[in-house]
Amino acid sequence: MSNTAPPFKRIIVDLHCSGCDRLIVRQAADLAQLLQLELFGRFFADPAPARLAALPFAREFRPGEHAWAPLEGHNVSQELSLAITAAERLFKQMTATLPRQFQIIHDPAQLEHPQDGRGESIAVIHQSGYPSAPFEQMLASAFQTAASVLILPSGVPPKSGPILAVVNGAEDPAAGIAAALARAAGEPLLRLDSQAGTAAQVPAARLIVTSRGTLPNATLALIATRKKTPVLVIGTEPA
Amino acid sequence: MSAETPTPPASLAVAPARLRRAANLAALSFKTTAECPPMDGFTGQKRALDAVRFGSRVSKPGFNLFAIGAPGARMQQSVETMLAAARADRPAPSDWVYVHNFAAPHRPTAIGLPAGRAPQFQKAMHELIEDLKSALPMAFESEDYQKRHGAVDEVFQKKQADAFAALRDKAQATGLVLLRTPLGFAFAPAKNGQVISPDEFRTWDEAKQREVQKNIETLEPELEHIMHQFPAWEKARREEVRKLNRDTASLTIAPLIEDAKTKFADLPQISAHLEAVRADLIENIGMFIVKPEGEEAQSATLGPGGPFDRYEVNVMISHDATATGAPIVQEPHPTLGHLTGRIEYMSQQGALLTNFRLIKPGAMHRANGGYLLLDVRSLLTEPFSWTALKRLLKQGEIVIEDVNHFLGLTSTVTLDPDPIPLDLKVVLFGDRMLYYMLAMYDPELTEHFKVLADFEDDFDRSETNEAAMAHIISNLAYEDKLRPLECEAVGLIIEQAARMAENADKLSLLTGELRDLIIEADFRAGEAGHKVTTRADVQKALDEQIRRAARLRDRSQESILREIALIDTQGARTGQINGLSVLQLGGFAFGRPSRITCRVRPGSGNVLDIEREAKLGGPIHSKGVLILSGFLAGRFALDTPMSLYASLVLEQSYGGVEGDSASSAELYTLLSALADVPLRQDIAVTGSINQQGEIQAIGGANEKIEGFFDICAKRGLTGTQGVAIPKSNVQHLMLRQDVVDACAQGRFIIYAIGTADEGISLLTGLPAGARGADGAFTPGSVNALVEARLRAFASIRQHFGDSKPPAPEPSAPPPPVPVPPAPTPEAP
Repeated sequence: MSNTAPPFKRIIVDLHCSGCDRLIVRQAADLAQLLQLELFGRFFADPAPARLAALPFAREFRPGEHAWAPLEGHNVSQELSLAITAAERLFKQMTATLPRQFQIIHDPAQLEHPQDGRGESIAVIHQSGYPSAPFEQMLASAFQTAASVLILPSGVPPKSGPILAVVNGAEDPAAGIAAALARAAGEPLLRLDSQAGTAAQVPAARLIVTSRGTLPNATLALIATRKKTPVLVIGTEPA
Repeated sequence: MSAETPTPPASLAVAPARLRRAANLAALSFKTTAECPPMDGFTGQKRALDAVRFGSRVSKPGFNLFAIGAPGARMQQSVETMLAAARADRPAPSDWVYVHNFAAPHRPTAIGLPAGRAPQFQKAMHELIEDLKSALPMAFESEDYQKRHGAVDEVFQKKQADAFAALRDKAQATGLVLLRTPLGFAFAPAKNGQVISPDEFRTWDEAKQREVQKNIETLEPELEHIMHQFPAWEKARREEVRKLNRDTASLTIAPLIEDAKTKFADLPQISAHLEAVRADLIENIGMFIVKPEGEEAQSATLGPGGPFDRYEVNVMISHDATATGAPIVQEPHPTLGHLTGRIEYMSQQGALLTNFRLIKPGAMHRANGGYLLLDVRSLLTEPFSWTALKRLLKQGEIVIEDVNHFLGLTSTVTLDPDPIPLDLKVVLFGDRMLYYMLAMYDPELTEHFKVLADFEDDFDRSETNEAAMAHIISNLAYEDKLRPLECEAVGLIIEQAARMAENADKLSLLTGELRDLIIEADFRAGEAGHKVTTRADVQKALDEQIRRAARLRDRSQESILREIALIDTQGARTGQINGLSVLQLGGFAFGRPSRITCRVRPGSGNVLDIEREAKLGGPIHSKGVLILSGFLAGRFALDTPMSLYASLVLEQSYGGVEGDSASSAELYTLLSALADVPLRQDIAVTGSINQQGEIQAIGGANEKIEGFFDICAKRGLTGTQGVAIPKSNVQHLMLRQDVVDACAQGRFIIYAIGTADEGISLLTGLPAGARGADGAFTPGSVNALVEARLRAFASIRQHFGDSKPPAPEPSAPPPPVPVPPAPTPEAP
């Protein structure tokens, strides 16, 4: 097991997906604090609604109002601007003591190819709110952005407990990262062989660290939802 | 006018032995009270104690006790001693608690438990909640719960995700994409997954544009349908989670509740309460679970003291299960709240709030099942207390009422706690006046206080009772850990007890004053270095008690001796006499001679009371003066109209005068003035008179005699000086030893007068005179001279009336006017 510091520099939170979910931002900030990483908040200012608004029949369904409303270019821009402002305010409020960065992204390609080194980043995904895509698709997209992915539950995660490393073999980098996290958090470290397989067999923990492929994607999703435990999935090629 | 002092008739002089009855020391078979076993204070109180015994044992409603007597009668100690014996016959009363009423929170539920079990119940409930505070979070953080909760969430999220995925697939199949807009969702034509630009869209032919629009219109209802389903799915999810929470909570709570129920299986009301607690816990489990950041806590609506208060137990009263007997409770400050309990409030964000834990017990709760002792004067001076006591006794239950709501002082939310059944014996203590006034003005008194315990002020002075008094004295010294008293000292205290009773043949039972004397005597003994308290110590204490209080007496005597207040103590004068009055100020009484004078002249038969005319005389004094008119009218010149005008005055009296003890002296001055015969000034007179000329008993005989004696002694006793008192007052004489000694040495004389004739004969040296066979009084007697003068007045008036109308006279006395009671220089 490696005793070196985790090879991460930042955690990336997509605020356009969780802009108003304080719990998600809080969990990401807690982990950043624990690992002494920068929290990188991104907001994708999608240009597609603005383009759609220029079409004659464009309209949108607003769940809050349970009604259809015409999609007008001016309104779309204004609402987008408000959403960005709200997300930025929340982000700054929740990360006041952390090194942080807030960025507005206009090009969808930037979501998949961040400016900084991919191998030093942890991308956050979660399933709160209206699902933008099936979990597996979300996970795959996240790994395009970063070397590692933090899957956050929608409920309240445990505030204490061991850091659990679910590893596949002695060389699994998840073991070293889990050990470093355990030291930083002052929590005990548990190591579990990957044969655990299902979510039910994974013991309760404050955070689970595993390498991509060690557990099936479905199991990762179940751990986050059923066990309400964050899971840090280390990419196969960490920097 | 003056005359020589005649020799007094020996038959009227009271023998020195009757001036002070000494204690029979021979009958006291001890040298000091150390050998005299203490005795309780029951002596002489058989009537009252029988009443207490009856009242304390009869268990029917309304048979409460009202103990009356003079202050210092130690009523309370006597009653407490008897109740302490009676309490053992009664079982220890129930404990009472208040718990939250989950169905009606403003009406807390009262639960009765066997003695000693209320604290157990309180502890059990507290432990139950404390256990749940840790057990419930554990249950809700358990892997099992989290798995089940996660499964519910997963089903919901999967349903959402699947619905969106299906819709996206459909959209993609028709060349559309489902877009997330800032406020919702929209469909847009797409090319390679990207929304096409407006410019490109315009290049499409109209048919293609319509097709796109048609495809969008086809999918929009599906999107709308999915979005409409979300709340229902979310509601279903919440229901599932709620059910899961209830199941989890039930499983956690059940063993703890069942354990608590087992401990109180014999008490159905507690079992019912625990069931209510169980139901409430399940419905409000959220308060035990840590809330995620940003969510509101549930405690905001639960009132003061925190969300868990509702499960606690407010022990109103608990009794020791191992001790037997009913409680005896005194409440020295019986405000409504102290008596019936009260509801307190807590300020929370500026509002006054309360709950069942802020219900505080009153004396009635503490005494319930036993005895409550109250001072009636304190009770009556507290607003609402007397009325509340009667109401609760009538209702047979303790109802806590908020006085602030009575008065409209507060309009905050308050409680209406369950009444608690009342099984109480109330004992009121008070003086007789209060009892009789209450009986007169409050007809409910006898409904609620049927047993009167009237404590005697004194008891007969026999050899046996003197011995009993010695035991009481011994007890008083013992209780206060004082030095033992010598037999002679006890004798002097017994004599003082007779003096306090104002009767040589009675002994005062007002042991409060005796206790004060014994304590001071003990102090004097300590000063003198005595190991036991001697008679001299007691005498010293008595002297010092008087000296401390006698400044006014000394000033009064000084003014007489310096002839500022004119009092003759020798010689004789017509129409002038020394009357005697008593001033009682601050618990100290002393006698003082006062000059009474009378002037006469022809008139219409009125005897004018100047004191009354000046509004200084009280009604009893005026009555005494009016009796003189009756006496004169019935005795003299029966065949002629009463043609007298006489004025009577208490000279140099500037305060109110009350009482009729000067009426005999006033008669003597009237007779002296009419007969023109001088009265001896070396004899002071006291006693009231009736229309038959009989001298009647008065109060304060000892003080009056001593008051005149002191003046005479300071001027020098002549051997002829003395005091004429009513014969019926001789039994009351317990004079100071120096007065007794002077009388025994022939230097001062006490006369016992039975009739006005005896008195006037003593004071004038002339025979009073009786009517002979011819209807005329003995020639030369006082009565003959008086009758002759009255006839002369009638003649003058008749003659004067023949020539011209009679001269104007002072008007007839107005109706009696109440006189302020203090200072009162007379006790009737």
